Amino acid sequence: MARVTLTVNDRQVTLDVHPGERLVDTLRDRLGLTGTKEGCGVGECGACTVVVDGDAVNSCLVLTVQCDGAAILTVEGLAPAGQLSRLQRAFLEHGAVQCGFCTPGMLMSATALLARNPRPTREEIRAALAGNLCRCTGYEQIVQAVEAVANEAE
Amino acid sequence: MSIRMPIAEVYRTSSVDDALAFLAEHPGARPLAGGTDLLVELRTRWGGPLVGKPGGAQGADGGGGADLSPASLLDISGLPELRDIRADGRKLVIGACARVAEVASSPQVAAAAPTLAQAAGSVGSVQIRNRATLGGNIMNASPAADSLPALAVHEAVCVLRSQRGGERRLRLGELVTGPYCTCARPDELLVAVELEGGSGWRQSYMRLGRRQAMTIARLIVAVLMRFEGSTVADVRISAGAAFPSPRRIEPAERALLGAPFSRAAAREAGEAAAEEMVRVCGIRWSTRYKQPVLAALVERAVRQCAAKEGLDEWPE
Ligand SMILES: Cc1cc2nc3c(=O)[nH]c(=O)nc-3n(C[C@H](O)[C@H](O)[C@H](O)COP(=O)(O)OP(=O)(O)OC[C@H]3O[C@@H](n4cnc5c(N)ncnc54)[C@H](O)[C@@H]3O)c2cc1C
Ligand code: FES
Ligand code: FES
Repeated sequence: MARVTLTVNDRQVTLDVHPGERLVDTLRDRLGLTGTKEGCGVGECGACTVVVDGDAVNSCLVLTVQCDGAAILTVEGLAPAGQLSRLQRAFLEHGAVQCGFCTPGMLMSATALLARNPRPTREEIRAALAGNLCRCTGYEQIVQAVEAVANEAE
Repeated sequence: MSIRMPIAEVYRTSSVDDALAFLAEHPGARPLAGGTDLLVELRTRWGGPLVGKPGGAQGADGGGGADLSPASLLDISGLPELRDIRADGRKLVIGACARVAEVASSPQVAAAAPTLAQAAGSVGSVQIRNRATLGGNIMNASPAADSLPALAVHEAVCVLRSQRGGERRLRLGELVTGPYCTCARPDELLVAVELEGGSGWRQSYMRLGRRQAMTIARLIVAVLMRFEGSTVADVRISAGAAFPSPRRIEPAERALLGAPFSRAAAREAGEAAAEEMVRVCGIRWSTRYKQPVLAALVERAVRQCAAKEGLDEWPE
């Protein structure tokens, strides 16, 4: 066991974790943050995407022991007081959510993009979401939702 | 219930010297950088979903996919000493733990080795590039690794370090000995990669995959050319997913070197590259596809370099 301290959605937690525990396991099973999904488990689908120290990463390919001291943002952190973020509302307005399994990962990839680049081009949006698979929407509505938020930025 | 990986221990270190001491004392331990190859390999070993990679990486334990005992890992991902990217005169020095995303966006890399920046930008997805390291891409030694052809044309020198042996400098083609194989010793860390940068090169990097993002390359070509007037004064050609280990393709270079550039010579270089691939690898199931496509890609990359010099039209 190893002791780690994480800041998850602005809340600090200290845990003893097994060396083989992945970040997705810690978030879902220990912290009850089941918004983060696991699809493939090997970096291909992006369903498990969370933001670690500002970077979108696959939480299925990160060990929790590697995150000691890190700030982690999950989909729950987008709506801390139950108020949806602008991006989440745009997803709803544009029909970018169907079954919803890819949605938390899509939101986190897009959130990391917009934090770094508030006015991305369509190409930049597509590149930022290339590691997130969606089997329902055909992607167009998702790109439109992100574009809508980008177009509102100063 | 938590899904766990077959990992017995992850040693967290704060300095390269401490890391080397750990490796010296723990012969079976394997360095963990971004984990985008190693954690997939361990998960596959543990019985998770199988991904299509022949054999799995040959790591420091030399065991590959067959070893079922839990791994002992040395986490080097947090070592700031190994993350530096700096220009040193005409040399570009990149720390082994520089993230692939950092290599893709570094102004120093863009200035000295745009082919490498492009190669790094082609790896996986944003999420993968944010964790994956250049050192991990080299040490995993996949024949389809995006960085290897770009490093080969820049005559990359790999700097290895161990407590027992001090520093060793090997050329990329000496370090990577075959698919998923390197000659690094179990107690050695790759600490940095040095490239010959320099201005005046015309460069081209081309990559074919089944789709644009998130796919391992089916073929990669990297070309550097220097012209004097219309004469090809220097040329370096390399290909990925075509040879068992990274190399320059000398027969293709000879078709161009020292002669005035012509489209016929570009075509000849392409054909020579494809013949060399067949000579080295023999005829395989993929040869019928790869032979003509490698010839066409090398020809096009050479013509792109010439077009950048104003000696040819841009090849479509
Ligand atoms: C979904 C997905 C898509 C991918 N797409 C691509 C792609 O398009 N192109 C591509 O080239 N690769 C791709 N990869 C493979 C992988 O992301 C890269 O090879 C990456 O650069 C590996 O770096 P890492 O830091 O994650 O290595 P790790 O997984 O940490 O390590 C890989 C191996 O190298 C050893 N190692 C790492 N660092 C050192 C060091 N400094 N000294 C000694 N040994 C070391 C480790 O022990 C291990 O054996 C993909 C992977 C995934 C999961
Ligand atoms: S579950 Fe992590 S990328 Fe698919
Ligand atoms: S909405 Fe179903 S996978 Fe994207």
